[in-house]
Amino acid sequence: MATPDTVPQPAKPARPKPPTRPGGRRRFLERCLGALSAAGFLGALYPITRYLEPPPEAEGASRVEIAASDIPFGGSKTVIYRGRPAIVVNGPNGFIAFNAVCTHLGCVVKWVETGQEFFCPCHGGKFDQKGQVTGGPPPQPLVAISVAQSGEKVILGG
Amino acid sequence: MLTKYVRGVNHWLKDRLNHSVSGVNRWLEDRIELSTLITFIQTQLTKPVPKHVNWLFSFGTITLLFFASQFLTGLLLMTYYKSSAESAYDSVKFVMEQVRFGWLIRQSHAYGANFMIAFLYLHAVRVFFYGGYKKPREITWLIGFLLLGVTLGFGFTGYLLPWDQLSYWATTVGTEVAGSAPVIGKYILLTLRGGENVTGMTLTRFFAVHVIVLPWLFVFLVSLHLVLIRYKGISTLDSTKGPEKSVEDLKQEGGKSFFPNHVMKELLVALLVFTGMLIFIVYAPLPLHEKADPFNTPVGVKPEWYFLPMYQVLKYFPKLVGIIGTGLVILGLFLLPFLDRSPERHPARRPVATTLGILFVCVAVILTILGALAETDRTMFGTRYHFDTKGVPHGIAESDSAAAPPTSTPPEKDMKKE
Ligand code: HEM
Ligand code: FES
Repeated sequence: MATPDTVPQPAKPARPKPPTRPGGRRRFLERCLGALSAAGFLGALYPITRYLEPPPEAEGASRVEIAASDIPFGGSKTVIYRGRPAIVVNGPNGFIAFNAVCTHLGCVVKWVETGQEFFCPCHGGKFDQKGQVTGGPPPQPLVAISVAQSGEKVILGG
Repeated sequence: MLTKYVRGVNHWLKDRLNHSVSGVNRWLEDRIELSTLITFIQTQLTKPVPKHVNWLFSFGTITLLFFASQFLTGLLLMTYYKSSAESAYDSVKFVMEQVRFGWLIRQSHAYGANFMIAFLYLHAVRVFFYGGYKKPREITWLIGFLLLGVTLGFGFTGYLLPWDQLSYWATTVGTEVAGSAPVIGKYILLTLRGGENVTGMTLTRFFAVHVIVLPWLFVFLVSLHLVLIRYKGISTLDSTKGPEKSVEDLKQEGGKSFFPNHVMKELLVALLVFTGMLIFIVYAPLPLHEKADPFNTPVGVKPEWYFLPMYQVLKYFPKLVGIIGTGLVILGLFLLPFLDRSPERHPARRPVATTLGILFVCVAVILTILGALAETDRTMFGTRYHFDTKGVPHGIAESDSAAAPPTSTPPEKDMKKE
């Protein structure tokens, strides 16, 4: 029901503005806005951290074949196996293979024929033919990789 | 002479602003209140520095000048650099060998990094011994420490960019150290490297951080650092119990005007230092080693000298103990103003702090020397020595140096690679 303009309304006393009192609608809304902005900011952080994390590695071949003739008796060869360097040795007990990444600080170990051991050039870590630490700072043995020989082929993993 | 000249110029400018009807001046004055600005700059320039301020107090400015120089040379290098594992090495070689003055720009950037960090270390040591980090300058110290972190970050990320053998393996080991941190280590490692190994993915990350993230951070932090220094002035050697000295007090005690007195001192040091760098560039240019080979770790991989003390310390302790221990020392230095609560600034009046400081510097220098000697063979007093990874010398006969500790020379023929 519309009220005609002419009908005088009882003059409402101007509501005195409450002195910025704690609580109240305005403050509530401001808080909501603040909370939303914070949530938005944190929400943006998540995809950014995930973006920076490398995508699951295209694992790299989990089965690597090498021609046996590539590695002379007593020698070694470094190949990529599952995306990381692996070292294959043609030793007295046949072919052996290890993840070549030193367990200390990530350098790549070498096979030392004269000492029949793996040697890490970074801090002098040494490992025997089973991958066990025999000297230097590495805290853990080298991780072995299964090797099989089939005719002229040496097969890692698989 | 110069002072007179500057005063003359100032006078002339003021004169212009106050009395001339020059349209341009009036116009500017109406918009940016030029005279307020000039008064402000003038107050800043003539602020007295405390009487004890000597040339050791120029190290901060020298660091800043090196940053400016790095900014310029870095920009120039970027015009030829290609940030991929395939072409990075060749593009740096190209700059060195084909581009006119390419050698100068690259060497200036490479040496500049070393000089900047050296002067930053010296600056922090200076602030320590003069008690400059005490109340009310704690925040200046905290920000300065972050600047140190940013600058070392520049060094770490920049070192990888040429993609040569040393940079590749130093980065492998360096990221592995960071990745050994408890709990978040693995995430840090993968995120830094962009994968399990150091690859072209690592290179693009490091490049982005080196040329975008760190420069902006640096500019932001250094602005805060400088504003705080201007705001509080250089500290005196008095106890922090008394009130801070006012400009008048400083003047009365014989403090000289910042400009030109102190600025001229800094300019002189800057000229000497940059000339020194030029001599190094010409007589001992930094090499570009062989291109990175992810299958073949060279012997004696070491980080740059400015990380050596931390790196060497890791060799004497189990991995985790070393990393946590070093981390705690760094945290302690960061929070120094809150740990060292004595009110005295003068080094002689805080003997414990001064002694500890001297010890700390000595230990850092000794560790650096041990780190530099480690895994090298040297002849001293007629005997040939092999220094093992811990920096301990072992005498070796000239003839059997190859057969001696296997650390010295792993037989070449076994370094088979693809
Ligand atoms: C990375 C670049 C840095 C630049 C460009 C820089 C620049 C400066 C400059 C120009 C000064 C004036 C006085 C002087 O030079 O001694 C200064 C003072 C100061 N700096 Fe830095 N600084 C840097 C890093 C640091 C670091 C790493 C620290 C400490 C860990 C630090 C702590 C301080 C403190 C506390 C002062 C005030 C000293 C006093 O009042 O006696 N700064 N800085
Ligand atoms: S990385 Fe192999 S011994 Fe340190």
